[in-house]
Amino acid sequence: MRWIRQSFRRQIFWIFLSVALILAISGGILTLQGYEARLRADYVRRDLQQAEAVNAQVTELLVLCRQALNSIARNQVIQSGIKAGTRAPRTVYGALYRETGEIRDYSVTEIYEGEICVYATSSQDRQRTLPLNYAVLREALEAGGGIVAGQDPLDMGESGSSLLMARQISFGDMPGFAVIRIREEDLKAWLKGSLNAGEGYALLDSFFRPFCLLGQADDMKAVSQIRNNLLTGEGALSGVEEAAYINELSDTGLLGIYMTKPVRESFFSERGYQIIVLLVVISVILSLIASVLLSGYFSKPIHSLVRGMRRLRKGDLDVRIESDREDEFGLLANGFNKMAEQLKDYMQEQVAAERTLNETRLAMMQAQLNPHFLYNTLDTIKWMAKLHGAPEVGTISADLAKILRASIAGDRFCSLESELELVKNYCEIQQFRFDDSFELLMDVPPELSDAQVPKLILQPIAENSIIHGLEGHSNGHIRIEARREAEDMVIRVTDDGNGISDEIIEAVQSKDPEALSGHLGLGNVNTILRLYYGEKYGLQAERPPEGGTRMTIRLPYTEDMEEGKGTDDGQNG
Amino acid sequence: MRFWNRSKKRKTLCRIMAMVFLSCLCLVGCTEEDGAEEISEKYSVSEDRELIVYTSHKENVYLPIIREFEDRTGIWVRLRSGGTEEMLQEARKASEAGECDVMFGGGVESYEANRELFLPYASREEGSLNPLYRSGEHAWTPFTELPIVLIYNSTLVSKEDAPKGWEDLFDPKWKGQIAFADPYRSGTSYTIFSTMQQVFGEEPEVLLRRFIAQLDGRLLSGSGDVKTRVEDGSFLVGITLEETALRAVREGEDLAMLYPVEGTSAVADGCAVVKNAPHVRNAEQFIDFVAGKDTQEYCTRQLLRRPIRTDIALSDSFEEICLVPFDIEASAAGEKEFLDLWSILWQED
Repeated sequence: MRWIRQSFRRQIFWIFLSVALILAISGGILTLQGYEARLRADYVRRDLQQAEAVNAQVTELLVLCRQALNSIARNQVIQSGIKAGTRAPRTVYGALYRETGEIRDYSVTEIYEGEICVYATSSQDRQRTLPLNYAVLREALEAGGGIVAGQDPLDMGESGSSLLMARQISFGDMPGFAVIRIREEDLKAWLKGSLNAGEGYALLDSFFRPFCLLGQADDMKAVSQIRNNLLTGEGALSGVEEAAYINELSDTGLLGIYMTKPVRESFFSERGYQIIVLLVVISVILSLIASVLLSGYFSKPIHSLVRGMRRLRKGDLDVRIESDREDEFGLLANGFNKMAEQLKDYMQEQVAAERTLNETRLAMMQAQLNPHFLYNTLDTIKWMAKLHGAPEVGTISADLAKILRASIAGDRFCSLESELELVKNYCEIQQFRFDDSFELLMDVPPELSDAQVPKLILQPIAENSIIHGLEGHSNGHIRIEARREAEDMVIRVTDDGNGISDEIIEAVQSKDPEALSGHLGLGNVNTILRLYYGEKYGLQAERPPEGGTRMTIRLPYTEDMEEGKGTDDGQNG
Repeated sequence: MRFWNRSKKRKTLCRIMAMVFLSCLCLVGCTEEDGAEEISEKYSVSEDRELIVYTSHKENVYLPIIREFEDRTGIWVRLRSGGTEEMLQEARKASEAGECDVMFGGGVESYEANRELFLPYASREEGSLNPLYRSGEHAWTPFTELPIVLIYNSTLVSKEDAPKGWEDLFDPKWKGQIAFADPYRSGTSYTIFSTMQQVFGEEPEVLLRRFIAQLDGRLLSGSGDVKTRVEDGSFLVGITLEETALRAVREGEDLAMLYPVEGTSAVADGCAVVKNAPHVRNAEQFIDFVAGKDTQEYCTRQLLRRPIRTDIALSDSFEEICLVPFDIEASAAGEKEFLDLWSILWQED
């Protein structure tokens, strides 16, 4: 499930597949079932008709036999023929043949005097005996003139034998009986043409014991199964392979089971299920194709949106999504573009507001301490030092005064010349402090003197060289060069001191002001340059092969620096 | 598109799918054919109308009796048939599971040997039965009496030359001409030997040596073969049961039967209610029916089996027989010893 959830395409595929499979399988099975049910109903109807026809035919034979038995019972000739000693075979046989004319081809009629067969319409049956107190003759005796059906105990088999229909016809000391014997082959002959190949018929008594088993029923399997089912209390036909139809044969007390091959459902089911499998395969393929197409259609705009979002998250506020769609995806792309634009505007406003705040804060500080008082005091110190013959003190205070004046002046830009002057003043003070341990060299072409640079941009670099670069050196050099390179101006401050560490080079390179926390001055220079001129410009540090440190400032060359170029919007002080 | 992790929706989907499949399945079920239920209901057999019979009789013996029993009582009989030993073993197993009511067929010495398998029942017909065949504790009820007789091929042997009794069988002219079945295959063979032993009063080993010598290495694989092989002339004389011999004679085969002059034994076959029987009442009814007059008369007249009852008139086929006193229990006890001895001596020969 997780695997599916992770992909839009797989989700679409899964949904399509589910729907297609439900339709294919349930639809297929329903159709198949309906078709099979219909087919089965047709077969059952046909079988029922056939069963009815066969049963009717068997019943007809039984009725004929019953009629024959009754007319034999009424026949005086036959009656008198049983009486011992008065047998006149020819007339009795004549009467017997007359009475059994209709059924003689399909049965044998026997006349018994007690246990002994005295007349039979088939010569080989004349030797028969039947017990009086057992089986069919006992029943006939008990029925007293009624017709009973039973079997010959001396010719009996589990899988059936002849059906004997018997009636007592004389009621003297020695009872006489008429018995009609229908053998299996007789019934077969009677039903000739009615049973097709693959069909079967079983004639049973009410205990489900077979008299005759024809055709398909011959192996006794189905009949045994049915009898067993009745004994175990299950449905009569459960477990029977053939399609079987059990019927009572009118009022004879006998049962007929018509059997035929079961409907070949398996064939249809097999075909049907093959079709369903085919449908399933087609569904899977179609779902796959549809999901690929559809997911492409859906996921393309979503992917471009995702890409745009990723760039936006990395800070690129200029990102825009191209989309010519007019649907919800188009709306979404438009919305994204608008959002990015608004975000950019908002950011710019934010920066401007921050700067205003900083300047206000500076102005407030300046207001707190009147710098002119400091400057005048330093001037007084300078004159007093001259008066008292301490020229160094005079020089220092003069330099300090100049630096102070420059730093408190309201302008944020100054000429390169005055910036260099400021560095010179600063270095003089530091030379006093470090006992002339270094020398300041300048190599600036006079045509660059008027170039405008942000105020106090070189002093922090010089300070860095003196404090860190030349620490411990007694004869150091600091060299400041300026060059014009096309539209830009490059100022290099090189010392031959200890050399800058890789850590600081990296920190200078990074745009994160926090990285230069130990070298606030350098950080400020970089920030100021980038803020004024953009990301392209700024400070770079390197360690030249001959040793020492080289700091390079790159900024656009301009002589006419109007207040607020690019980003500046006001003035103060 | 968070479709799949909304369990509610998923449940609904599952339900719909399940319903579709269930409705499909419902359509599969309805196939019961018309009218079959009616028949099932009308003819289904309640437990109290059932009886389970294990029989070792042949079909021509048991079937008419069982069918008549069904017709008269309305009880449906479930049958299993096979050899005596097999059926006793099966009945023992079925008894433990409560799946057998009656054991029908097999010599009463087998019943005696398996007495603990049966539920004692004193038949209502007890008074009319021959007291000679009464089981001590009513463990079993006899069915028919089966005397052992001699047969000979009437075309090859004249009546004068035919052996008259047991002793005559040991005449050198019958050496290798006596049809006798392997005792391992036929229970009757042991009964025959046991009879001879009781007639002669000899030590088993002495008699058996003599007898095996007289058989001359010729042995039949089943008791059913005795009649056939004498009839086809392979053997001249044979020893078999009266019932078999009488029927062969009735069917007009070239056989003659005679009762040994020294007398013979007549072991009965029996029937009994099996312990743990699920339908005891019906089983008792069956025993009564088998010992009843109608069945006995039927067996006598139609199957040519000697009745166990004293009130049945014998037809001309049956002659008066001289029975030697035969100890069933002793006979049953000696069977294993005899078989062991037989296998040793037969190999020696």
